[in-house]
Amino acid sequence: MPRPAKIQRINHFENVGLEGEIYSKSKLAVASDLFQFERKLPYTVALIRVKEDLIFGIIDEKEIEIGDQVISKVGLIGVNDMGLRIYGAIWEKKKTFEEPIMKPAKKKREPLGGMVGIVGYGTYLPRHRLNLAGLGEVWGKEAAGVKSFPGSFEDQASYACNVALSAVKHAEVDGKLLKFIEVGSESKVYAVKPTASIVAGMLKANSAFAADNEFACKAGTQSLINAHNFVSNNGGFGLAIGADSAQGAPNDVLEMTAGDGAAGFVIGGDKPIAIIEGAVSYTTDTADFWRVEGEKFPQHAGRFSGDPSFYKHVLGAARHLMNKLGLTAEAFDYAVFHQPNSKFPRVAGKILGFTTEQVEPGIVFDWIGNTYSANALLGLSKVLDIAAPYQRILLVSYGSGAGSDAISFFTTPEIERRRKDKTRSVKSWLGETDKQNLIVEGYGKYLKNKGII
Amino acid sequence: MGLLNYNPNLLMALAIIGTGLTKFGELWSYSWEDLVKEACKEAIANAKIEIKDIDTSFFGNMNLSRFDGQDHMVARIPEIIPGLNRVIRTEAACASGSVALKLAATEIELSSMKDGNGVALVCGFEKMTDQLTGRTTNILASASHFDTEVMNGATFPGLYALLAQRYLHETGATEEDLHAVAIKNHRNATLNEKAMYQKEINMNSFKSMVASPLTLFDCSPISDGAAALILTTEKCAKYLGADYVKLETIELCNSTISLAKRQDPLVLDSAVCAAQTAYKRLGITPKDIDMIEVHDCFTINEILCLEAAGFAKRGEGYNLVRSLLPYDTINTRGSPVPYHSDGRELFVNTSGGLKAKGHPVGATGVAQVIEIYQQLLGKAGKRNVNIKTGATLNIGGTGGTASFSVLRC
Repeated sequence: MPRPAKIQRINHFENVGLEGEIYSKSKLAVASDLFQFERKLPYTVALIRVKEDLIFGIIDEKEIEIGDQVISKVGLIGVNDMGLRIYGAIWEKKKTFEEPIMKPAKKKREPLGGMVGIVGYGTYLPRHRLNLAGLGEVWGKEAAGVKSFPGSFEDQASYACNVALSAVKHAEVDGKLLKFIEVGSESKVYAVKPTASIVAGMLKANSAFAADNEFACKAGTQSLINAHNFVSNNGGFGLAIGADSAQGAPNDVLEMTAGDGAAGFVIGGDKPIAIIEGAVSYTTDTADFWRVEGEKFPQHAGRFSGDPSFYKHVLGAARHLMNKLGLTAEAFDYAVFHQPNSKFPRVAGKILGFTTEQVEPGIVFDWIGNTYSANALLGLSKVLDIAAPYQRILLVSYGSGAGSDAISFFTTPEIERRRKDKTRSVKSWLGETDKQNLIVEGYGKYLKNKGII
Repeated sequence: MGLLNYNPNLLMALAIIGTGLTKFGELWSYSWEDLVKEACKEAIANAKIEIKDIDTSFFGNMNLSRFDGQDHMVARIPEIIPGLNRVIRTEAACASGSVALKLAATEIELSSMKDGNGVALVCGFEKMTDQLTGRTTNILASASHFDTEVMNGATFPGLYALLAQRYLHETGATEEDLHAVAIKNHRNATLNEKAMYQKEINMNSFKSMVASPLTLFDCSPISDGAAALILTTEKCAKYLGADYVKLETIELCNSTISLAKRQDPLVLDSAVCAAQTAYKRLGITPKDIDMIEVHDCFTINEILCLEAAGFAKRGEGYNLVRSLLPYDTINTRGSPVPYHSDGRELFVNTSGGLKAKGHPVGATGVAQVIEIYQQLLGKAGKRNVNIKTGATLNIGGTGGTASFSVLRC
């Protein structure tokens, strides 16, 4: 007689209908990926004493306590509906919005060199925030906090255009005169057609050298370095943008962090607010996170994201730059790192010898999640919002695949003068100063606006 | 024909003459081949023998085929260590290494009865961290009953959690008693440079739940590592002039793989059987054992193992842990931290145990024996304790397989 398919035998107990007593039970918070048990977490397994026998199975925890009598509640799991009743983890939303500590400017400091730097910058974040507790309820995960997601008519190209307009305005530069436009992103609206062409078209910068680039989360700093190189050689102004509507597959851990946002920088040699002192890169062939051509969502190698990927490259690039410039951690007033989660940038800062006061002002992850190409650039913008003249800022990005760019900035007195003309700070976009602008929504709206359903 | 040539009067004692142990941990830059090579070469060098002296090699490994995709592992060995060309692989989940040692012991005993002097290499290894946690959980779960447990959502932490929950329900033990086991083992591991975690933990560490009542710090980690040793006869060891430790006995026993089929799930009957057989054979009692490495894959199992090995009655093992009270001072004591029982010190898991040393499943059984070997020869550095007799208890699955060995100098 052929054996029935195994999937049909799930919890198919002969003893259904008998009375049993719970011998022991355990609520599982970690499961195997077999038949996607992971997706049913948390669930409760038990040993049930039925007459003389013990039976192992999944139970509806709500019904029983150890020692209580349970009547035919075991094994009521059918083929189509697995019958697992999932209780989402209930999380208290706790988020402390700490005021970044202003450091007094150290006078009489000189940049190590260079003339070209950031002339103006602009940032953009959608108003929409996903309440992660709602996502956690759906998937039975522990989740808290919020992350940004697009409004109905927003995408990566609209973010790029928005930051282009505000960066050009802040830099007091005519957009038509831009000679270089590069957009770094891994969520381009078109697979073939540059977002940079859309930005150039909007600004009427018809003589600009325009292109897109992709290097996972570090495409933004890559644009910045490319613009700096171009302007250093050719003069004029360049525009570097990092813009992403980050992708994470439903129920993937990335879904809890992948956010939306953009930052853009006008680069030039005429009255920069922050001079670029030096930049280095560190690249290896490391497959920690990737998206295959034609696939909608990226894949990743789990724990591999830590030591051999993020830390190796971020620390490698940062140390390389600090050695090259002969600078120690104390020489910097701020250090901004790529932020794939809340922990990594803080740990990286600590390892490199930076204090909390140097690292915290550049943190944006806690309010919006990981905005991929825009992530480190938004952190930099948040620091530029508060930096005083003659301060030094370290920026280290990280892109999976994998590589890091480390850049050292030195602020000029222009930064304070230009700040008066700035309409919106990163803190305001984050909702820290004007929370009424935020729209906090549930998982359904998120899935709709992201185009997943 | 063959057996008639064996003369039981010639049966000689077994001796371990050299060991090799890699660091345990998340070893990104090591493949399983690197691990095996490092451990075996170290053991061979340590025993001052040459590869050609080894008659047969026994490799304990749980699931290379799913962790790494490689079946027919035995034929990879001559590529890794040229000259090892009689290779046998054993599998009994987390007791795979011990089964390899048992087979090697049997072979050497048989060779001694033919008045020969066999030399065997025993190696246990596992490379586990190349998979995502869900997949690893799935692979490890296959050490329990596939049809009735794994298919119904069981995981290893889940099954041991059922034992822990029942233990707490039936006895006076509390969750703090379980945590104290982990605190002690982490404390011991601070002196073991091969350990995966060389840091102390405290009662505040036990927060994120894996399977109630077991938290993350009640569970042993997913680790990479390899352990190897050279086994021969005492006569041969003396001839070679090696420092050796006598493997007095190694006993294997099996029980049902399903928890539900056990008469009393809280009794590891396979371990009871293995330990009692060993005691009977050697004419000793648990009181003669000064130190034991037990299978603390989850904190509850250190207690269950101590009960099964006869150091406490059923349901009373937690009183051994309570000899550590007050728990908040464990980290301030000299280490290794002993339990106190019947007016004497009992050292359990001086290496840090599976909990803090790491648990590369195939390597664990061999690594436990190596810890006793080092302690008996005074080679354990800062964690040296003065012992005469040491034992190991290695468990496969939730107690489906158990191996108990006794070693003396």
